Amino acid sequence: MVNSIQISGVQYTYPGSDHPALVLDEMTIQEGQICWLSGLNGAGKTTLCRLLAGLIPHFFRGQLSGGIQVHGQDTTQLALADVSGLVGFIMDDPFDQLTRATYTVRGEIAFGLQNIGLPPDEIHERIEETMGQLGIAALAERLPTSLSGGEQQRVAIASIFARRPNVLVMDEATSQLDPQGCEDIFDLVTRFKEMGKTILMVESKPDNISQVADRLLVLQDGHLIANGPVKDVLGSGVYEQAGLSLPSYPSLARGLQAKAVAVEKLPVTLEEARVMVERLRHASH
Amino acid sequence: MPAIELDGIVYTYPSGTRALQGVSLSIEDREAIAIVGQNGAGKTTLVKMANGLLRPTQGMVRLYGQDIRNTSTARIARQIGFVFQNPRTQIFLSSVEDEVAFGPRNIGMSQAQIEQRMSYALELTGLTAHKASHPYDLTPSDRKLVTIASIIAMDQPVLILDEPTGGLDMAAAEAVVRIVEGYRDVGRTVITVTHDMDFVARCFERVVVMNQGRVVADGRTAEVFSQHELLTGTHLEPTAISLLAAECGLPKTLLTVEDMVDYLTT
Amino acid sequence: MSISQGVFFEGTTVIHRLNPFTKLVIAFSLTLTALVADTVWIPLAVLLVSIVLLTLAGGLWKVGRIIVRYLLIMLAFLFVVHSLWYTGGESPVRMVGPFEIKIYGFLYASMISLRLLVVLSSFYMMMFTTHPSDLVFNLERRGLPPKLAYVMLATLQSITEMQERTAVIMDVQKCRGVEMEGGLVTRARAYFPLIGPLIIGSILNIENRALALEVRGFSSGATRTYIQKVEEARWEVWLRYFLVLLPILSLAVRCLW
Repeated sequence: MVNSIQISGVQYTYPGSDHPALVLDEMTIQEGQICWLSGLNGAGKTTLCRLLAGLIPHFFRGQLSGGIQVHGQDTTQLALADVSGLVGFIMDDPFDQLTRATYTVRGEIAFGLQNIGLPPDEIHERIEETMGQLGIAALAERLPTSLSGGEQQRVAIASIFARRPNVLVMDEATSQLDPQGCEDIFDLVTRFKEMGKTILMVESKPDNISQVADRLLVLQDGHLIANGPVKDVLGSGVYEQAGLSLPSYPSLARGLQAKAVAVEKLPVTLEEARVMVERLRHASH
Repeated sequence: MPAIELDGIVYTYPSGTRALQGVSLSIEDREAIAIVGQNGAGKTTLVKMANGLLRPTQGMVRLYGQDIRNTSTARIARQIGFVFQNPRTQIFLSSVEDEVAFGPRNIGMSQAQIEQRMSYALELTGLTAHKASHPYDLTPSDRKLVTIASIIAMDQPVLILDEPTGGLDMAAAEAVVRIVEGYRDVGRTVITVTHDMDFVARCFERVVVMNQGRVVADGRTAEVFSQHELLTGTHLEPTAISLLAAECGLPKTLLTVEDMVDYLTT
Repeated sequence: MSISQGVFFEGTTVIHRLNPFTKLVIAFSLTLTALVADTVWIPLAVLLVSIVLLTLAGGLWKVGRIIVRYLLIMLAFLFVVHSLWYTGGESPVRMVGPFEIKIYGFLYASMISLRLLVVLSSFYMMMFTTHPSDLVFNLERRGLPPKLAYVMLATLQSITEMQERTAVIMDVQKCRGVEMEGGLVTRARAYFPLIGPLIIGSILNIENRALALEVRGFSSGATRTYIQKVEEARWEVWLRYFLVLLPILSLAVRCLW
């Protein structure tokens, strides 16, 4: 498997701050995986997202040391516009990500492509392809500001995805959406994974993300304290030690363990939880 | 007498869209009720009728038996606290203390009362240590807790929370659960508008489901949340535990981890 | 769904279909023509043209409402003051009932009023029939730097956004016991709880918007390409040349007569 992201010896301090916001000795993420990035407020998740997207150091100055490689390219040496072709960045507020420079969804998707000077024919082709991939062709001529939160977020993602990045960094992309909106975003993320993209998602609500993520990264006070398969990290206790609440199914297992019920493995998916419950019911009969 | 009565409420936006289609709802004193539905269902529009932020096109709103038609929202604020979603629309003072004291001062509390309520609100929200901090030096989650504290400090018998767990980290979301439980313990009426089903399952005994400007279900949370088809039909999701219960042929009224643990261990 | 934005109202009138740049030139040309003239007939003729254009655009009643609501009293005051107390020198007078109307004063007030109405009606005609992003895009295609174009657009949009945000902030602060309606003192007290979150929120919002632009290659430095074509009829180009001449003609009339 190819390394999509490789970070080594990175330390970053925001301007005016007296302590580093992020200290990462080593962080590797392989291609084609959905990585869940977790941690409390202030742990450094947004800082890490900004670092991967090139916003640190190009937009946020401050002190940065260390190396960041995305698909073999050192992003600290690339211009921000070039980094955004490698790493797409999605934020939490759908409305803030609409440029409103245009009054159609098509225009929103074209915006970034126009900025980098792609020929009009290629822009049109990419817009059609992207709308097809994200299932938003029906929204093409709609006014972006009239769309629902979930639709706006999909448009924001489309306008980033049209650049064909290898990596997508999504910082609390579902936090302002209703359940339907969240479901739409997770469907997209699953589709992106099938296309071979690497996705890093910051999510505070663990139930949805735990069902689709391959890896879990946990940040605490700017340090990466865990990076592994979701099940392993949730089962190791590190996650809870960082002050985080387990998703419902592993939490159920912990609750049963607290009542002296033996649980072999911490379930993460619905199927694993079902198997655990069936086993318990059989055992008790 | 009910704390809030909404009677045949119809609301039409200036653009002509009908947001509420004749909704009637009665909320008893000391009740904990959640109003759920997808965005655009009309739930926030409905609760804004309760404190006069919106006035019905048709229908009547009563607060402890009094018609509030001619009472300003600022006056109703003495009885109904309303916490909005976005802290940025509220915060403008330079310390947490000042923010929390602002509301009580406006409604004419004495300095002694203000001190006492401020203390209580900061303790309940876990912000006592940050009393002197500038709100914008705090994390976004703590800022949200500041807005909750600043309304609780006004000591109203009714508290309305609009999407209180939205955008919060896990520690702050747990703090909101504690706040709701704590506030209920002292006999207040708590109303929330949300689509966080786990939060509702943990803290609210009664739930109202709204869809396209109408109430489609109103009852005990366990009963309503066990109707998975109703929920998915209104673009809501059953809780993870309720889904698990359904998979295992267990009662779908098991909504939370605690419910399931209790069921499996007895 | 209507794409009304601020003053703009979607429509298919002949004015709506004009190129945005032409409409901008019309507004400036009519305004300058009226400002430069020193005889009341020119601004009157220009105002009539503006009214015709506004009627074709479907915006006459809206402007009428603005004038009645905000300007009528001021204009009436202008006429009364200048007609009765004109201080520009000797003037023929006419008795209207018990009042001695100074003709030059009346004409002076007419001139100011007509110019004001020309500015209002011609620029309103432009804004009513042109989506801000169409206007800005058009200017960009004619050489306005893209970053400046975006700043102009964001400024135009910010008016509506600020209004919406203010409405929410007012609601929030009402729920903290701040009365918003009442006498001057009451409304003065509401000022800081309104302004504070409005300014802070706007500043924080700017950072988010800047980030969204940057990750969409806004600072790439490449020459921007466009998927929309600028289409206009040949006659519009000739019309614009003529419109540029209009204020010059008005100036010539002023100098020669």
